[in-house]
Amino acid sequence: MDVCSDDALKLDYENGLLSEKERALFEAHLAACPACRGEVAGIRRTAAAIAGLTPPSVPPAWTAAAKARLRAKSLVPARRRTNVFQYAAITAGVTAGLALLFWLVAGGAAERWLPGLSAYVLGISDPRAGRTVELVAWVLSLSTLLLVPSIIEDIYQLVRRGGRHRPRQK
Amino acid sequence: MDTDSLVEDHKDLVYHLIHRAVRDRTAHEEIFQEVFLNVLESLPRFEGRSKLSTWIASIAVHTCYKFIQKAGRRDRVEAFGDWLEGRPEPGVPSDLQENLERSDARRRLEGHLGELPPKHALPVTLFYFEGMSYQEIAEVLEIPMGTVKSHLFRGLRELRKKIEGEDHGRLLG
Repeated sequence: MDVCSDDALKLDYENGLLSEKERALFEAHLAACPACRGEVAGIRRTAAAIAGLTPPSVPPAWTAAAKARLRAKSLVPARRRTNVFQYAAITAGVTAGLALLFWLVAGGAAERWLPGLSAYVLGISDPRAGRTVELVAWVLSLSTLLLVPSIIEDIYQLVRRGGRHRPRQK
Repeated sequence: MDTDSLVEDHKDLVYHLIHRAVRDRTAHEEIFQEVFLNVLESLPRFEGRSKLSTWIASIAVHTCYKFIQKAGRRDRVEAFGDWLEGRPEPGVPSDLQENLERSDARRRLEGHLGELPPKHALPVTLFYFEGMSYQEIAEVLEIPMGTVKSHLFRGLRELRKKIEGEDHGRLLG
């Protein structure tokens, strides 16, 4: 191999990365080759000049800004992969439960099967007051239906955490 | 991992790489923030097969490349390899302060280092400033170890020529 054109060899020599045997062989070559001697001396001087440089310093404001951004970002919980089957089962359960509740209340089933249920539960004897209670119950159940996605999500997150409650981070 | 320590421990490494890879100084701060956000986002995927600093350096280099590519500041950027092979993109015009600083010998050397193309400047920075091994530099730049040595050697030779050409080698002592 042509030692004179082996740049890696010169670099390794200068950086002290040659074995003892390789080093001895290369030094024998250097003794006889002024071109390589000049090249190695040039590497040494240039490397020394670079080593004498003071690396640029990071502006402190940048560091502070980066820390603040990372802190803010790390507070936002990472999105976890959704278990589709678990999510679907919860969705089906919640939907079925709410549909049953809606049918019982809005469909008047409760009143048909258990006459005077609302009045009995709330101790109301006036039929008009009973109907008002029915209406309020209907509106409430409708509102609940609008919250279904959120309810499903909350139940799902609770199941994922194994029932442990964890407050949402702002 | 504590995010403050993450920034504190690697800020110099990230900054030096940005400093060498991107000449447009007005973009440095944005890239600096972006690198750490990318690191935080990718941290769950870090498998510890290399040193954390090597992995972060790799993210920094890629972020620099993506920034330059996205900003369209270089017409010729088509691939990561091309970028590493290419010359540094045109920087912002030097201001008065910069000119004054350049009168200092070390500043001139710093200037010459900044003029090197990324393929030479990055190995020089990683080897001499960050103390990385050839193997680590190869991982960061995604090039073979032999190429790292070759680029490092050529970077030094190019730098030497620039210095000798400008002030007859006085900088080299």
